[in-house]
Amino acid sequence: MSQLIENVENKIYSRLHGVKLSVSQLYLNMETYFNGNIEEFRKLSPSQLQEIWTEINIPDVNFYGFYFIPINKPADYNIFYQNSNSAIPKEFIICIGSLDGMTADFITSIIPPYVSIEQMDMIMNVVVGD
Amino acid sequence: MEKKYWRHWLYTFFVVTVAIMILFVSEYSAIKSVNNEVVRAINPDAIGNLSFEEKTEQLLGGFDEISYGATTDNKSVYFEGISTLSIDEIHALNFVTSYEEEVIQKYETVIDPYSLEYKIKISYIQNNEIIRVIEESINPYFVEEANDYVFEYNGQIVSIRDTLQVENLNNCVALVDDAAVAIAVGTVVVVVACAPIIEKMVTQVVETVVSVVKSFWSWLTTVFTSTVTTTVVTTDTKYNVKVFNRDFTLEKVKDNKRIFVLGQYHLAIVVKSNVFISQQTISLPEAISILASGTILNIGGANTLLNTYTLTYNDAKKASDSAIVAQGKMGESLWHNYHQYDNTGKKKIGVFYQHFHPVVGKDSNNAPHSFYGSALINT
Repeated sequence: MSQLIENVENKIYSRLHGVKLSVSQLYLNMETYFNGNIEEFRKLSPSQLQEIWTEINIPDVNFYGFYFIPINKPADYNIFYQNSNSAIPKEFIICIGSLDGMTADFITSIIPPYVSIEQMDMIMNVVVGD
Repeated sequence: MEKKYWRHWLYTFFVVTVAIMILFVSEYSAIKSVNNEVVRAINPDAIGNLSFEEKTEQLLGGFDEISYGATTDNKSVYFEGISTLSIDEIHALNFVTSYEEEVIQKYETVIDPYSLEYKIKISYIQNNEIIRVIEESINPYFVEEANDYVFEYNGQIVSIRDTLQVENLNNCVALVDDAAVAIAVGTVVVVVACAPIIEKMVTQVVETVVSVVKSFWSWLTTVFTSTVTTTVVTTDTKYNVKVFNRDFTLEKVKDNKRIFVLGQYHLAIVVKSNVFISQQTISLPEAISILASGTILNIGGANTLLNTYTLTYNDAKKASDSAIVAQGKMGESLWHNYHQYDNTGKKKIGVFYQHFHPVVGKDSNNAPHSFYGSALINT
């Protein structure tokens, strides 16, 4: 049973202090959120962009939105991005897809390498939990 | 009347036999011309399933003496190889008139540090006299669509991949009646000999030479190991797999107790949310070839990709980045966190590793994994 998008958004805003990113906001500030060939990422649809990192397909027509989740970064988090030519996410982003525009039928997460397992579990438990 | 029929059938038999022979020769001759380009007949099974090191050894083993390294001006690298040809090999040479004295074959290759051309000289010496010299400067280039390095020789395009598809690579060294093969061998030997040490040379070898040699070498690692045959024997917790003509036992990951050694690579497969990692190690070139070629294992009728495992992020990235170069592509390895959530965000049961994919852009589906680090085990 899928949750209502409204409920998921409320949890993201109130409990995780997340914010919704409009597609243009994300695409114009791509380098804030991803390391790698930004110009190549900009050629992808929002759905394809999330699929790169999650390997989960959300059909283009069902893609609903990106949500930025602020988290405490460890002091050495930058080691993954220094001199790196790899495609790596920089920030924690939740993606939602919906079949009817009301229910959150797809929930995927783009998770940077510095995030601990406990942190990612805590965030996802909030998003998918009651 | 009977005699007439007999002659008729004999004539028909003769005509049909000749026609079949013509067809056979035109189809399977070593070289057939198509639109002024030379296409070599390929036997895809011929290269066998030796490891990269074994093939390198086989190729260099075709020489009696070899020397290689930095040139005297320290700007580039060279290779010299000498072999004494056998009586059979001498008889195969159409330019030899005396079969009493041995023939020495000498390969000399140097990469020009400015033009980046491979200057190749192959000499045949008998009784201290040079009886034939092949001297050529070639500029091999990569053809992405064919995943092949080619060079132009006598107005023909020669494929290095196809040229090396011979039964034994040491025989390749002795294929002296074919100048194109000899030139291809001269090109490859300098790379396989010098690439592994090029960065350790205390020289001023120019950066472009290092880059050319390393790119070519990365590609060769995939060509030399592109045919990987496997035999899979399985139990609940182990798979016995034959890869690179060696036996590997892949054990199911149940916890993080197993200790891996820094800098070593292992084979890995994913079967129904479980990960199996080999006890035995593979070399970095073998890891690169697995990641670049996308080898598929058939286990109980289901296909699964062969992947690699190593301990650290940096080593996993190194193998994945090299695999991209080996595919003749430019770009960034794609990093993935543990794929432990399903498409509704719920936790999945299984074993997960962080990993790189040697792919550029979005298509990481069906791409091999360069796994690393500790397993995340969800029960």
